[in-house]
Amino acid sequence: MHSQGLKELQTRETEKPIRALYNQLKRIVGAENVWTSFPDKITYARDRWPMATLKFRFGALPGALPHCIVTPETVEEVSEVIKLSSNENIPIIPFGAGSGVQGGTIPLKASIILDTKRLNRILEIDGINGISTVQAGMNGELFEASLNRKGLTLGHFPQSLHCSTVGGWLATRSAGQASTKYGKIEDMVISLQVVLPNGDIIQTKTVPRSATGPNINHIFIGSEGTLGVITQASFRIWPYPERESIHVMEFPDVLSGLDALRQIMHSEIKPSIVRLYDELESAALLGKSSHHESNPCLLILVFHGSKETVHLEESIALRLCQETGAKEGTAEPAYRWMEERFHSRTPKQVTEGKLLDTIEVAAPWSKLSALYEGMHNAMLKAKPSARVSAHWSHVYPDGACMYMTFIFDAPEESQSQRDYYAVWDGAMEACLTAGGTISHHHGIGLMRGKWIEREHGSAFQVLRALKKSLDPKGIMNPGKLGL
Amino acid sequence: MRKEEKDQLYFCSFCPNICRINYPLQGIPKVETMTPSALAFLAYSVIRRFVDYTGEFSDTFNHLEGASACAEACPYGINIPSIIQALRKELKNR
Repeated sequence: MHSQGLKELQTRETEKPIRALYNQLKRIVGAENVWTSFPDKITYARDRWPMATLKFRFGALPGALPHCIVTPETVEEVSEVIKLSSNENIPIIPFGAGSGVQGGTIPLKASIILDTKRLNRILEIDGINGISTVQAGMNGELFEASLNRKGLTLGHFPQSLHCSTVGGWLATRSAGQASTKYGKIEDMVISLQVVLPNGDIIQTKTVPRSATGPNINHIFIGSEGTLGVITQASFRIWPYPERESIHVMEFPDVLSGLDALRQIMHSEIKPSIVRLYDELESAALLGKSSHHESNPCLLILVFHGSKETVHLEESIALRLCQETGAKEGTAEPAYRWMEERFHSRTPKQVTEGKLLDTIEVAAPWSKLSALYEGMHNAMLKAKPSARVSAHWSHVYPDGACMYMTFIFDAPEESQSQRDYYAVWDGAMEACLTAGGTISHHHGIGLMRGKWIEREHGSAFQVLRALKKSLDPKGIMNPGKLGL
Repeated sequence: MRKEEKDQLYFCSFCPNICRINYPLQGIPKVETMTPSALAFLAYSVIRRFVDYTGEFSDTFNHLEGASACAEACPYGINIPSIIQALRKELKNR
């Protein structure tokens, strides 16, 4: 990818003001809600994709500068902005808080960025039916805190909770740390309001379930802004749990830990948080450089619910862990993780001149061992000096998510960029070979677009046809999701 | 500008704004440019001379209300508005 330097772009900026477009946008959302300065444009030229971070470190862009940014307050304004961009054939990119890590909001050519953060109202909290309706630009933590004040919870806790929006969760098909109990974002959604690429506003029905054809919500969940703009959603909400119970189990190796997790899931119990770490990550969790004891792999188990449910679930889970060779350790590492579970590791690594990225994939239980070995070896082959580690979380009766982390020294741009793509190429190839899915919850964005056809095989024609039908001009977030 | 302040700008530039829960819901624009991480990167770009310090940057550095509210929620104890105010003084003397 060609890098564009900021100074070069700043010089060119003065050459082409597009006042007619700005004026039309100002008529829709008000002059104070159209942002056109060079600093505004730089700001919206990135998200938290590590390649964007690498480029920014060296004063370059990962893509292009947008034409401008608009901050609409109503769904009608969103609709008008989209109609205008369609008429003018200008790409439009929905933007929540920019915490995505796959480049999903990065403009590839001059575009209109539609920032949803003024759509930030909670419209309903209905404890009787267990439903809350909220606008897409609402901050995740503020939404959860509002529910908590009423003795309720959504149960969705992505690492980005404090710095992401509800719309971002939906657009990227997000998963939270307590997903084993509460489900992923697609399990929580009851209905959606979406503005289509032609400006039409659609609203799906708020009912517990229906057999009225394919679930239309699921066309838009995970669509990364390529099929429309999600402006509002209704979610299932739950009573705030009466009790929380935290355990750390120590396993002889990863395989015995995975075996215990499989048995726990097959016992029809649902811990809320499940995190099994390999030796490297276990040692880091303990604050040590290495951990050579007999049971070096840690498993964090957290249970939420009524006293009776938690007691029953923890007793079954701990017994199954012990039967597969684990012993219970101090809960200190779990508390340490919980303290920092919504923080980002990136700033510290960047200040040390390193490049850090994570690759989350998933596979059935029987394929996880080969998946780990294949990806681990491929990533190290691509960059032998990298530190490559993994943990397993978001477990299911039929398999689990594997979350790999790699870190290497990145003192300059071009070689670091080559190394970065080499590690990703190796990892994705190994994942597909082992029968895994290339993304569990970070999405596709820009980074994974080149593998999505292989991921879906002939089924990808369905996504292509949807895109062509809903967005024939291709104005919605072009270049993302491999579309 | 002290090295410690430059280091904090660099650190904050690459943080995803986990302090944004304190960004006021009403009263000030909901635009990314006014968040601490964005301001930190813009200031860092000026210091590193990735960009020229134009009137647009000067205007941007005048809008620190949102970032000031966020400073209280920064888990790393970084106060971007006070660093930018120091930078603006320095830039005046440039």
